[in-house]
Amino acid sequence: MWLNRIWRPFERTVRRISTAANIAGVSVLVMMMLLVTMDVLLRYCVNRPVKGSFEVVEFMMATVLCLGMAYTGVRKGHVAVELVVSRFSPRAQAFIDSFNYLVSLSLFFLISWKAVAQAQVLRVSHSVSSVLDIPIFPFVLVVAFGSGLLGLVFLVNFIDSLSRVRRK
Amino acid sequence: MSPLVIGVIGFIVLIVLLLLRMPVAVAMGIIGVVGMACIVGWDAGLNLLKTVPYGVAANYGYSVIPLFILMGTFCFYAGVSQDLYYATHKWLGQLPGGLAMATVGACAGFAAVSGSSLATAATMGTVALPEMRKYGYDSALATGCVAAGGTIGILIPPSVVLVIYGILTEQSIGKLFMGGFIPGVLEAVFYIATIYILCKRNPLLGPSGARTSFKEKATALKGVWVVVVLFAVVIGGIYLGIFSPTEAAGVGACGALVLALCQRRLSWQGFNSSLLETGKTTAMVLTVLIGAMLFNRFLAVTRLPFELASIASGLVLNRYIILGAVLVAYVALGCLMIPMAMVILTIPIVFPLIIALGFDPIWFGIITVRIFEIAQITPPVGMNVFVIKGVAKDVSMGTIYKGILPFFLADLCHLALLIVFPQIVLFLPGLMG
Repeated sequence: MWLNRIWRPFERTVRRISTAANIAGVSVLVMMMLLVTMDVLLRYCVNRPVKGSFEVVEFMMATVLCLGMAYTGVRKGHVAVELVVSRFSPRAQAFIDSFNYLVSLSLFFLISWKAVAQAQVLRVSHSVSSVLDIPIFPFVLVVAFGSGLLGLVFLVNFIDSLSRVRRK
Repeated sequence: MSPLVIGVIGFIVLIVLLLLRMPVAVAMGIIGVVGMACIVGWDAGLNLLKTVPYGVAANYGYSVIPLFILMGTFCFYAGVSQDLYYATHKWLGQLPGGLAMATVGACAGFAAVSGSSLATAATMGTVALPEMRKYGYDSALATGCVAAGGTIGILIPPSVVLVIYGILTEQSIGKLFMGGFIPGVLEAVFYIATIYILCKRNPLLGPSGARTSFKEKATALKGVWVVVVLFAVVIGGIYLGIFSPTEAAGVGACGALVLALCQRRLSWQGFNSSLLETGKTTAMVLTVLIGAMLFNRFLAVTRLPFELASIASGLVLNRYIILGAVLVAYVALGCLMIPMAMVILTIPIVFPLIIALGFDPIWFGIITVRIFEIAQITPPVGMNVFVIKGVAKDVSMGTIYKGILPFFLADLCHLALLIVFPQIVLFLPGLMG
C-alpha cells in the first residue's frame, strides 16, 4: 500500500531530476565544445587564446559527467556482465540484483558524503584554480550531487528488485 | 596477510562480483576501497573517495571522450552513414559481392568520424541488409559482413577505446590514432578480399547489382565530402601537431554540427538525441574510469602488477608465447563486455607485463583493440552479433555466426600480420617524431 502512495511519486521524482540534470549536463557539454573551438580559432587567427580555457574545461567536464551519471543509471546504461546471471530464474536474478544495487547505492552515497566533506575543506582553505581564481569547492559539490542522485536511482532500483524477490 | 595476497583475493572477488552482474564501476570501486582499507586502514580507504572521483571528473585529458562521442553522434543523426553507403553502393555495387564490399567500405568510412562501433553496425544493418536482400544475397554473407564491418569503428581514428588506452598507459593519443589508421584500412581491405574470394568461388552468394553510370557515381560522392573534410581536419590536425586531441575533438564536434546544419540534415530532435546519448555514454565510460582509478590505487599498493611483470620477464619462455596467452585470455574476456570496459579492467594488470617483455606500447594498444574487435563477433557473446540479430530478426544466430566465420579467419590473418610486422602499426606514429 505505502509502496504505491509514497514510493511511486518518489521514484518518479528521482527519474525526473535525473533527466533534468542530464539535460543541464549536456548543455554544459555544448558550451565546452564551443569554448574549445573558440580557443583554437582565436589562437590561430588572432594569436589570443581564451585565458584559462584549460581549467574551465576541467570544471565543465566534472559537471557534464556528474550531472549525467544518474540519467545513465535510470536508463540502466552502466556496463555489467550479463552472461551468467541472465540464465538464472527470475527470482534468483532479482535477489542478485538487490545485492548489487545495495552495494552500488552504498558506494555512491559514500562518494557523495566524502565529496561534501572535501568541499568543506576546500571552501575553508579558499582553494581556487590557478589562472582565473575560480573557487574549486562548488564543483566538488556537483560531484556530491551527482553521486548522491545516482545513489537514489540505485535505491529506487533496489526497492524494485526487492519487491520482485517477494513476489515469487 | 601480505598486501600481495590481499591483491590476489581482491582480484578474485572482483571477477565473482562482475559475473554476478554488478556494474563494472561499482565492483571495481568497492574493491578498491575495501582492499585499501584492509591493507592501510579504513581512513585511507574512505579517503580515496574524497579525491579520486573529482580527480577523474575534472580532468582535461578526459574531455576528449565526450567530444569525440559527440562528433560521432552528430554525424550519425545527420545520416552520414546512409550517405556513405549510398556512395560505396554506386561505386562497388556492380561487382560480384559488390553490395557486401560497399557495406564494409561504408563502415570504414563512418569509422573515420565516429569513435565506437555498435552504432555503425546498427545503422549499416538497417540500410545495407534490405538492399542485399533485394539483390538475393546469401543471408549469412549479408549479416556476416555487417557484423564484421561494424567492428572497424574502434580501430580507425578517432577511437574512444584508443583514447582510454592512451590515458591509462600514459601514451600519446595522437600516436595511437596514427598507429590505428593503416591497420584499420588494411582490415577493411582484408574483409573486401574475403568477400571477393567467397563470391568468386560461389557467385550465387552475392550477385552483381545494377550498373551505374559515371555521372551517378560522381553525384553519389556528394555525401562523402563531409567525412573527408572532418577526418582531414581532425586527424590531420593531430598528425601535424596543430591540435591536441581534445582540441581536435572539440573542433570536430563543432564542425560536424555546422556541416550538418548547413546541409539541413540535423533536425532539432536529432540534435537533442545526439546530446542526450552523448551524456549517457560519457557518464557510462567515466563512471567505469572512476571505479578503475579506485581499484588501481589499491592495486598499486598490493604491488601485484609489478610482481606479475617481474615473474613473467624472469620466465625462460619465449615472449610471444606469453603474448599469445594474453591474447587468448583477451578473446575470452572480450566476449563478456564492451571493449571499453575490458580495456579499463585489464590494462593496469597486463600493461606492465607487456612492457617488461619488451613490446612496444603503441603497438600493443592497437593489438589490444584489434583483439577486442574480434571478441565482438565471436560466440557466445558477440555484441555486434546481437545488434545485427536485432535488425535482421528472421535470420538465425547460427546463420549469422556462419556468415562471420570467413571474416573471423580474415581477422586472424590480419592479426598475425600485425604481430609479425609491427612496422605496419608503427610506421605512421614514427613519422610524428
